[in-house]
Amino acid sequence: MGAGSYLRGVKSETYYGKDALQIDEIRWDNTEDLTAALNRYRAGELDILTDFPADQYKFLQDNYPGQAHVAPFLGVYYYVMNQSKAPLDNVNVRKALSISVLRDVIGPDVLGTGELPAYGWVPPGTSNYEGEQYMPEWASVPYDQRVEEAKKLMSDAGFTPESPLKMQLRYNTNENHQRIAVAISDMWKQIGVEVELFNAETAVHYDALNAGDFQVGRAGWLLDYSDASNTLDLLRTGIKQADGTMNWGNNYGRYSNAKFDELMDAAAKELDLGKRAGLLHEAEALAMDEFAVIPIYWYVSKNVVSPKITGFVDNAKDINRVRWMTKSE
Amino acid sequence: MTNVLVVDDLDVTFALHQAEVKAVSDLSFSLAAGETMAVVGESGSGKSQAFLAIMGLLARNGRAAGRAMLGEVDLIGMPGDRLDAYRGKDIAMIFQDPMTSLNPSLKVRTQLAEVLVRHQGFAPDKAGRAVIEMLERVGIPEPVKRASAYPHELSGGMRQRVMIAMALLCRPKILIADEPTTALDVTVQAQMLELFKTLTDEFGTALVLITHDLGVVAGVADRMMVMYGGRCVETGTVDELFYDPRHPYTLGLLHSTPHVAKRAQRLDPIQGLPPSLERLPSGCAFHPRCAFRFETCFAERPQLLPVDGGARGRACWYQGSLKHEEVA
Amino acid sequence: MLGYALRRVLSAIPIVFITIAVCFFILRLAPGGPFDGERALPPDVLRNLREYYNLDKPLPLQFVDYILGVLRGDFGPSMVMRDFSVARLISIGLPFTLMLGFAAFAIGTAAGLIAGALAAFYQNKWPDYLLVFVVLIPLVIPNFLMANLAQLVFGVYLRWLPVGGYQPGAILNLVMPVLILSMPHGARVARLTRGSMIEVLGTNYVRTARSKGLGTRLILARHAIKPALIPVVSYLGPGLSYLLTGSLVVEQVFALPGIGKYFITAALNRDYGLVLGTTILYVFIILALNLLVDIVYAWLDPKVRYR
Repeated sequence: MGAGSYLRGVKSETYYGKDALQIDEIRWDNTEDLTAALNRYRAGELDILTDFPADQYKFLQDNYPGQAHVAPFLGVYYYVMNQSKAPLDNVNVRKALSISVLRDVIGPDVLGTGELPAYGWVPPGTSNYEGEQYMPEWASVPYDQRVEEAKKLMSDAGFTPESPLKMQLRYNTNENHQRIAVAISDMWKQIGVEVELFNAETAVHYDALNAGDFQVGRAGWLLDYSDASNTLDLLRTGIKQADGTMNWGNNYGRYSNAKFDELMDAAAKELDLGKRAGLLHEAEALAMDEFAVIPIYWYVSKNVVSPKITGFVDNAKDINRVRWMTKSE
Repeated sequence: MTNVLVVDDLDVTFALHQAEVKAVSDLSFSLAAGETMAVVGESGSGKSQAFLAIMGLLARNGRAAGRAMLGEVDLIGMPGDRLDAYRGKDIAMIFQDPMTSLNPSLKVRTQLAEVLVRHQGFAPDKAGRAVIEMLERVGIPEPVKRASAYPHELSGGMRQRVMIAMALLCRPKILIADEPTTALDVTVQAQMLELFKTLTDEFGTALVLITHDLGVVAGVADRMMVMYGGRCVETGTVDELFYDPRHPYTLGLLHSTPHVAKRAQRLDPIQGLPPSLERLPSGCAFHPRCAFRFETCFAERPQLLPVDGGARGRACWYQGSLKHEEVA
Repeated sequence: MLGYALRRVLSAIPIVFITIAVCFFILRLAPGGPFDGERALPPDVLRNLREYYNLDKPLPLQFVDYILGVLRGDFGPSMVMRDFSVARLISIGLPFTLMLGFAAFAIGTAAGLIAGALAAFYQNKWPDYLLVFVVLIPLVIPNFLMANLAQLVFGVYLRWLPVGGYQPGAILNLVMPVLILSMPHGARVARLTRGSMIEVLGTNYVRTARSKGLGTRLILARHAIKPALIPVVSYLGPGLSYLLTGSLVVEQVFALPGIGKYFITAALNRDYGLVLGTTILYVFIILALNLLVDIVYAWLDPKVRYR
């Protein structure tokens, strides 16, 4: 519903946990304007904000210490590369693009909220995913060496500063997407890639991604449920339709690897969660080593919680049930 | 005869961006009850501004000094709310452009009746009847219908008749008519002057006829005052000035007016242009255009002095006869 | 008079029809649809959705269906907010937006008229200079900035007024939004009034009125106000429709339940039904206000006749 609408919840006498429930009444306000929402919080009209403007993080830390909560959240912000067309079908070009992205500056500097750099495909903290988090070797290589390697990869593929790779980067119109796109196109410039930025409203943007009508595009995935397969499924080969066309679903980049698909099938049939996690880890490593996508950062949850509220515990799903909270006046 | 208006040393100045400009200087005259005085001059001579000053209608940047006695009260320097007791009642004014001088958004009846309501305390219906009567008097056919009309539905002549009716509603002591016929067709002009004459005679109203056209003056006015560069340069009866002008400017005006100058063989427009009030010539303001000028005219300003010891007056250094030396 | 109004209403029908048609086809030609989003839908689901919402038929046929629906008063379902019909969404948001807009209109117009008339009356004196300056402020500072500033000052620091939100009866919550919304409108009215009042006060007919000794109050009230209002009134129609259709920013910043948001988000979401519904509503508002303005206009200026 629109701005200004709200939901009001009142403690139910028939609720089985009513004796433990501390909050008698709660109001969820729908506020579109984040700055305005923060003003309402500062005036004491709201106790919890489930989001805040990224550029106010510093202000909140300075003036309302401990009240701004930034915590890892199950979701990945990434760039898809259209692998159905040259030159992004070339794994070395994809590698060059990926390793030349300096992820450490995106969260703290470009966005200002401290999002964590992403090198893999399954967000840390995802359930049913025992084992070590995927981390490529190049991630620990100093950045200038990575840039050198990327330059070499590009020139091997035939792209030099004299005859650069000209490429379009699409994103849906949004201030943060734009900042990141500008920063990354700058990083790519040094390895001889000329980026044209193109933004469109959300519906048009995803329409183009679906149709495969792009080279590099911005996308994001928030997990529907906490399981590694929820992100990994995005990289499975599309399904052939009765009319002969392919349905690539959310695999906008059209990444396709038969071994990957096999591993995902095997994992789907595996009942032992430990073994299943092993298969999924293997699939993640396979796709990431082939640079199926360019993960950029793990989403974070952003909340502002009044000191009056106790029982608010940050968690990767960003689910915060009122039944565990109390409010002191 | 008693004087209804006595003006003494009237000065009118306007504050412009850079300097102050004097539009009227040292103007003195008196107006007898029921008489008709014409005030003649080219545009910029100060003839209109002098009477706007007396009415308290100067533009925001204008200022008047001197005295204008309406009976016992001095109109100059009187605040607007006190002036309103006299304006429209004892002293009324008609303006040059009947097309824009009536309020386009109000019916004729409203604009006339409000004068009677304001000054005579008439009830609206009584005022309405008086309005119809007056419209009839000024020669408007179907006055009942016209009273309900808006100004844009009337012709120019009709509108000026409405203005006359409006000005005479309270039978004022003085009516100032500023170029009342200039904007009208020639055929209508004569009728309008006739109307002025009849009505002011009947009501005993003194009429001030401001005009640049001597043709209008003849046959209507008793006396006339010729103005140049903000000053009165010659004054006297109409006959005196028409048949025996003593100021070269008056003479020039007569020679340039068609049916007045019928005795002359040809029309002689006055050479040159009226002076700019911001830069008035030294000495006599008329000297650059004057055929009779000599050294004194350049250096000193002539005073308005009695002529032949009578009521006439003129401001000119030249002592010879104007008749024998026709303008070249 | 009545005939004139009736003719005007009839002549508005083709305008509404053309607007719907243009809007309908442009919307369909634009890339992206109501079901495009971060998650691509499976083709079968998409096909079913398109069938359900009548999007699978040829475009001209869809148009005819839509028009027939509108004639029956059925504006169809919202394709994005799926539990709601367009008519229901509008009926939820419209009363609030109307209340907000009319309140801002009344306050802004009244304040603007008084301020403008005073400034004209005291032309080039200090009340005039002060008003001319004050009136510039809401015209150069964008609405959302004013709104945020007002929230900080009156809500956060001084705590005089609630910062945002609304529930029926919470009058205090409306004080800031209404004032903020009314300010640019009031400023424009004040400038127009000042300008036309100065012009009117300098006209020959006001001089005539002064020569009749009517007194300042009567001259202003009877002779000057009506002609001075003509340019102002011609702005009031567009001004009011701007307030009613442009409440988006204020509604967003103050978290108010109005209709403003639909117009923008519906277009971005390709919520075809909702875009058309709000467009028809806005066209209707604008046409109605224009008609009203013309009638008031004819009363103010007798030279205008109903033809």
